[in-house]
Amino acid sequence: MKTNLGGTGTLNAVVLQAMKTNPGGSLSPSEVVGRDALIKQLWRALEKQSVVLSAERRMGKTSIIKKMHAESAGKLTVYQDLEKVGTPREFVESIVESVEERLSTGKRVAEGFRSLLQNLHGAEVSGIKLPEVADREWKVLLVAIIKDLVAKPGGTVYFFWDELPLMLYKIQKNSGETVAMEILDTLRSLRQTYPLLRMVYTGSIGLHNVLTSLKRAGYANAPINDMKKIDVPALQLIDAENLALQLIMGENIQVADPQIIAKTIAQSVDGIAFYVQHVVDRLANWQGTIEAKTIKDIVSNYLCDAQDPLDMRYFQERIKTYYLREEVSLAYGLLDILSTETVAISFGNLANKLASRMAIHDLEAIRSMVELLQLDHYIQQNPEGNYAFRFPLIQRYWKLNRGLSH
Amino acid sequence: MNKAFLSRFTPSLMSPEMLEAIFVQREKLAQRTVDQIRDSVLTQTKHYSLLVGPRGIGKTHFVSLIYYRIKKLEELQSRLVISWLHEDGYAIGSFLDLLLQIFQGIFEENKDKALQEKVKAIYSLSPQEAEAVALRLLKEYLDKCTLLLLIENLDEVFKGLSEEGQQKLRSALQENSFCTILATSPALFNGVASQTLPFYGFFRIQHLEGLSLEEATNLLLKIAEAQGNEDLSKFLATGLGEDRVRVVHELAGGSHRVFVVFSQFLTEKTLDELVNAVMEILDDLTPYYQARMSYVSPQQRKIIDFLASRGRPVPVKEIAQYCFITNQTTSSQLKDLQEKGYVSSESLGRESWYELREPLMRHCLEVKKNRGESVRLLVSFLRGWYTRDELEGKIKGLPENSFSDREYLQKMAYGWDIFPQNPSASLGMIAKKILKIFEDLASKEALLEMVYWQSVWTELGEKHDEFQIPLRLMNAAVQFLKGNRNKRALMELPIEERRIVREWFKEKPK
Repeated sequence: MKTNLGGTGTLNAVVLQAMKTNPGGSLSPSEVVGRDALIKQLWRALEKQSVVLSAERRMGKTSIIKKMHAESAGKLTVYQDLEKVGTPREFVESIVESVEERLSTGKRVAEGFRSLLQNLHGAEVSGIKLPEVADREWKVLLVAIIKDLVAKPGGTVYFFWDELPLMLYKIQKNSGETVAMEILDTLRSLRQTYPLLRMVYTGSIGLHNVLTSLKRAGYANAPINDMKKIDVPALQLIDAENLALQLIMGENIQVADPQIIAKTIAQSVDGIAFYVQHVVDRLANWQGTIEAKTIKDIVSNYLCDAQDPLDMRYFQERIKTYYLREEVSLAYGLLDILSTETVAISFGNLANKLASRMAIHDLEAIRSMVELLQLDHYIQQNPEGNYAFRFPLIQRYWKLNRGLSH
Repeated sequence: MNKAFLSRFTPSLMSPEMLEAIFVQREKLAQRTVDQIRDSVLTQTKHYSLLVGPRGIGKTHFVSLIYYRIKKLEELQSRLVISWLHEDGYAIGSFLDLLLQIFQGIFEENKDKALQEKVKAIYSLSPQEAEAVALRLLKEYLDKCTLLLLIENLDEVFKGLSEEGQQKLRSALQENSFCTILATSPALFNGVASQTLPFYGFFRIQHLEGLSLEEATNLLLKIAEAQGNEDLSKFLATGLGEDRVRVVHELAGGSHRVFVVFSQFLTEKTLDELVNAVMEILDDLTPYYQARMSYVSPQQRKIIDFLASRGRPVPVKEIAQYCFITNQTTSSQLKDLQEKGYVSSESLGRESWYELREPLMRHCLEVKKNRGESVRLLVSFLRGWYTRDELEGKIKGLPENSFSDREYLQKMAYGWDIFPQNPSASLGMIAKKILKIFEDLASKEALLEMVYWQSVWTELGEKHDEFQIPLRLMNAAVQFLKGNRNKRALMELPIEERRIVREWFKEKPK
């Protein structure tokens, strides 16, 4: 018998609300499922210090910080997507614009900043865009706008900066490493100076990728050592199951046992919400009976689909983009080995297997690469010290796509 | 007769009633798309959809239909602003240009003069200031409304925006959640497929499929009904009507546009006779296919022209050689052409063989060279071949061992009292009947008998044009079996003929 759950339902005593699938789109805060505990943890951390929020792409970082921003009644929060920013002047400009927009009394809040700008420019600045003088004087202007903001009554000011690593990457390319370093240092200094200022850094490329390249250029500071690093994990399986069920309801998909289907979806995609969205989206167009095997087939087909609907190719290409040329073959070699392992293996075992594939001159280089692959969330170390892919789904993709299935 | 306006090349000109009346194949997708837009307007969720499919696959029809369905939903109107960036007529070179085009689309919808005045004022600012002011104005104008942005040829828009403009657009969408997008593109493009670019993984991508035979017949039926052509409707509903449509389907490759054009030449009589109707389609579509050539680079044009002249699949190496391009460049150009829907490929071992995806495009490009004679022959042959007639039943009804009876087959070959003195129209019929027998031998893989009858019929028929296609099919089938089912033998045939031989052997393309 087919079951239609209609508009609402319950699972494990959780009230479920029907939702439309939206892979890749912008979610309403109420549709960000299974993140309440993490958000509480983040607010708790933010009571004391700023935060670097890291995770693999598609894990839901942006949805989490947008939800925090949207549901921050009584707090002064500013959410910015910094992908558009390519110079320090644009960075200051975007902060001024966001702050003025967030506060209806914006101009008055930024009085100190406006007066400094007028002095530097030699005349009143009326437009949204900052004059050229801001190219040189961006640092004092940045300090001025933050100072204005934290001086206003109302408590702590929170900046949610999405795609901050990408902004730094662009500034590094456009204006040089020194400027990127100065931005990081200035932001750290502001955090030290103003106890009521909090920042959340996040982005689709890891901040450590940018920091590593700055270190290669001689940067010796530790610009985020005052911030708490919090990792965004995949959803708990029960939350992923709830999400799948809500989407099945929202899309009015007819299945015999929605809970079994939802559970299978959650397990098949390791609890990653973005993939849950994709699988249910495919089910919404499905012709024919839907059973647990259908889900497994859909996921298998996704993994070898030339159109790459799950954006899996990213896991290979990002290495070519952000790693040094000489690191690429080492990273690929390690991941190739781990992709064919059914259990986690020790570092020694991993290094031995690698040695049978390529000449190894420096064991430390392998250690560094293993560490980098952990930071980039490809692999993880278990309590016994052994290494494995972090997500079995990505391991499957890697193995398939690299032709290592047999 | 009520002749409702049917646009062949600009579906957005059609009335909502006509768009609905002739809508086929994608009702479920349309309902989901409307639901997603409703969801985007009524909640904070925002959906971004991208429809991908080659030109003529029905993208503009779909977008137009969605536009009218959304306009009808009363509950949305107070919270919705629409801007439709049509496929032609916009020149976008920056994020500012895009914002101005969005305003233009809004004016077309709501004729808001106050907004028009505010936008005019933007032109007195520097480009940087103008961009910031325009974005702010858009946000203020929308207030709590959601912008439904309909964008055709998103690939072109993204090309104009460049990476910087794309980053600005993405930031604006992320920071404001004020917009839902329904976009189209003839192929996947770097802006959404490259992991280093901002819109990677952003859109819900829907690849649009061509029409199946049943859907194509349904489309023609709906057009006939919408235009009050009752005779044609009745004919299309018959098995013979579907047989005739199948011929066009074999040539058109499921293109919506071709069937819409085809419908204009149809009456019961022309559909049944078919050859002239197809010649008229070719005539009508030639400028369209020529225009399609302008969307590709000169190097790609050269490749298309070469493939059209070959009329069968060609390996990359040979294409590279005859076009004087390196293998590597040829491969990447072919990949791009495949994504844009111009060519299709088949793998043979480790080699990829390419040909034009739509046989009709090949015939359009080649029609002047042979004055259309080869198309006439092909249509005539396919018309006969795909007609389910009584002979088929008769042959299938014969006992199993009848086909090893050479005497019987000899009678079939020589026994037609009308052959070879009769008019050429009958020759086509005879050729078909002989080929039907050959098909049966092929399906049983009776190689010796196939070789024997191939030689008999080559001798009898090779001087007659009507036998050229059947003989080609026989030769390919014999070579295929002789080579231990080596697919290379099938590659001597164009796609529409290869399909027939494949069916004999239940072979699937790779």
